[in-house]
Amino acid sequence: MSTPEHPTDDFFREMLSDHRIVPSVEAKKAFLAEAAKIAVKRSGRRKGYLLILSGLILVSGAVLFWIFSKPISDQEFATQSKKETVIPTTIISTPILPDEFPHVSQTFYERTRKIQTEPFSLSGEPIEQSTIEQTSVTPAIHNYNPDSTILLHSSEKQQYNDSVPVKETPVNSGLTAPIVNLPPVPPGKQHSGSEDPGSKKSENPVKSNFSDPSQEKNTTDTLDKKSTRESYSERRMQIKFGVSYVPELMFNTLEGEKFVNTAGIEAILKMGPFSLRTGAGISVSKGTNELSVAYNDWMGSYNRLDSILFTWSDPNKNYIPTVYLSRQEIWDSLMKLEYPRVVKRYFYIQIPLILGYDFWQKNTVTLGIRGGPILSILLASKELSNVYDPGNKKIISINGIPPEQVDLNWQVMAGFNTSIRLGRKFSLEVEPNIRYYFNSVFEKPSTSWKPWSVGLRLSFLVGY
Amino acid sequence: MEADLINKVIAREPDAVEALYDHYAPALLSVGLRYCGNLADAEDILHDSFLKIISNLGNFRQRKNGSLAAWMKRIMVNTALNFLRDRKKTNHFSDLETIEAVIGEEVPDSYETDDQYRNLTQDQIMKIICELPLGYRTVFNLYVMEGFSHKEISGMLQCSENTSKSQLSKARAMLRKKIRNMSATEKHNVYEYSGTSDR
Repeated sequence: MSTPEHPTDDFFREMLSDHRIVPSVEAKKAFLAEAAKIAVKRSGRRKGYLLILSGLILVSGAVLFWIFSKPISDQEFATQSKKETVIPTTIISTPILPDEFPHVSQTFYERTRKIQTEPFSLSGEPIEQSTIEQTSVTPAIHNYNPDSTILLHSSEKQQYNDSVPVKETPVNSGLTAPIVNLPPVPPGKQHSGSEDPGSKKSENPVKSNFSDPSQEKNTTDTLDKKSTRESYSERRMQIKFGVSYVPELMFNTLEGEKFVNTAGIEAILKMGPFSLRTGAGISVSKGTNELSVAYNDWMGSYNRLDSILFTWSDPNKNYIPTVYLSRQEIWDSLMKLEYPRVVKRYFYIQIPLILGYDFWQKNTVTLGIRGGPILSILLASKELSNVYDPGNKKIISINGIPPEQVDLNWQVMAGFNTSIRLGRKFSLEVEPNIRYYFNSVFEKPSTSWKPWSVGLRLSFLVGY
Repeated sequence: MEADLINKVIAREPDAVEALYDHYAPALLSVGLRYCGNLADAEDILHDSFLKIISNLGNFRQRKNGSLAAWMKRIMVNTALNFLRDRKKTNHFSDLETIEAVIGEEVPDSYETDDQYRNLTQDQIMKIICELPLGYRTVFNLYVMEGFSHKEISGMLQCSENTSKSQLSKARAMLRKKIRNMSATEKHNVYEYSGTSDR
């Protein structure tokens, strides 16, 4: 801080040093009313509150995950399978004689027989007949791939989660195995397991599918397209885990614009077109804090005489003095103030709870909207600039000047999400978003506009 | 005494909060008025500043009388600067050519020989400071009243040091001009605000 040396400056300083203006009664009342609302700040209670709050968010996220990802119990499964057991039109319940279908070639008949009698596995390993007979209803699976094959073996379910969303049927005594390349059957098109086997629809189920290979292909394609559309809205739950990085440019902060980096892990629960995202990320940003340092100036030092010891010297017949001195520092009695600034790096943990809706999908690209609250909690701060050096000054007090970094803040985020499937399990999400800070990380309480930011979330996800 | 008051305010005792306000608000409002130029904005800044003060008083460590007042004043100044920044006012440094015309001829630096300086009241000084263009007023307040260097001011206002020096020079010249031109009748008019002055 400078010491201005100008006569008019001194004049103004002297004249206004004790100038006072009494605030209006209305202003005082308004302040007292608002001050009464401010809760008592107790660090212990505050920390507990933060812990409870963050715990609640994480627990609620976990509970939601658990609710939606809860596996079907055996009893529920039995009920459901009874209700939903279907005999796909392509399943052969009895051997087919070539005479009955003259248009079906002998080769195809032989192939069908082979499939019927020899259970197969997608992994190429032989499967026990009894295992096949115990196969159960597999709910529709999220990432439908029309080119995939049907699942038969329960152990293969994990391996081929992305297969066709076709319900497997408990195989009757006459049944051996379904047929490969079975198109998905939309629910509306499915036949009930309790349906009268002698009804018209199931009278000769094979005929329509094996009447002609080219016709079969056309039918399959049509069904594929239709079921692709329908399966989009009927997708079942899927969980994705991944890592994300969000560069973010904040505006309207105390220091103008500010760049914030956030990296973290996240989990996404997808339920059809809807999604719920949570996780934890570390947010890193720089900030400047101001200190109020009260001090006494150093005036100099001198050697103070503590004592003199005289020792008698016989040979010389005189006293030899020994002087004991101690160094004394002198400080001005006038208290002065200065306001140094320190640059710090702040580390926040961010816990989002983001809801999403995918409104468009084509091939490997999905577009959607995302929005929700994000909780930020200050974890630590590290001084980047040199620590304040008082030199020879005698420090009376050092106090931080608010606004300082807040321990906790809430943000609300809205974004446009683009998800690109990179494979069966992997996907990349790009999400430009806007955030609004309810109580800013960088200033409190704000006098006018709250800070806001634009960011780009990049996330690499693995789905299960 | 002050330590007791601080502890009571931290405990949110209404009487203590009111006592703190009554004791320090007049001086802080004067500071706010110097920066904003009008009482309504100054009261808004005072309101926000006091909320910051009582919210952060728990972090304040007092070791000597006077440091609390300085700490509070600094919060007030920062809040005022933030307020002006939010209102997009601080970068509105006045067009120098226009100001040159207002300033006119130079006047001597020494006020001691000038009776007009000696006879000025606090309210009159506040009035002419409040009449300064915003850029001039801000630099003048930061440099003359708060004692910041031009380097520090340039960082706070996001302008160059030369701009800060230039603004200060023009502000001084304009103040001298205004004081000199102040007529004898104006001298006895009190600056129009709803507060009262100690002098």
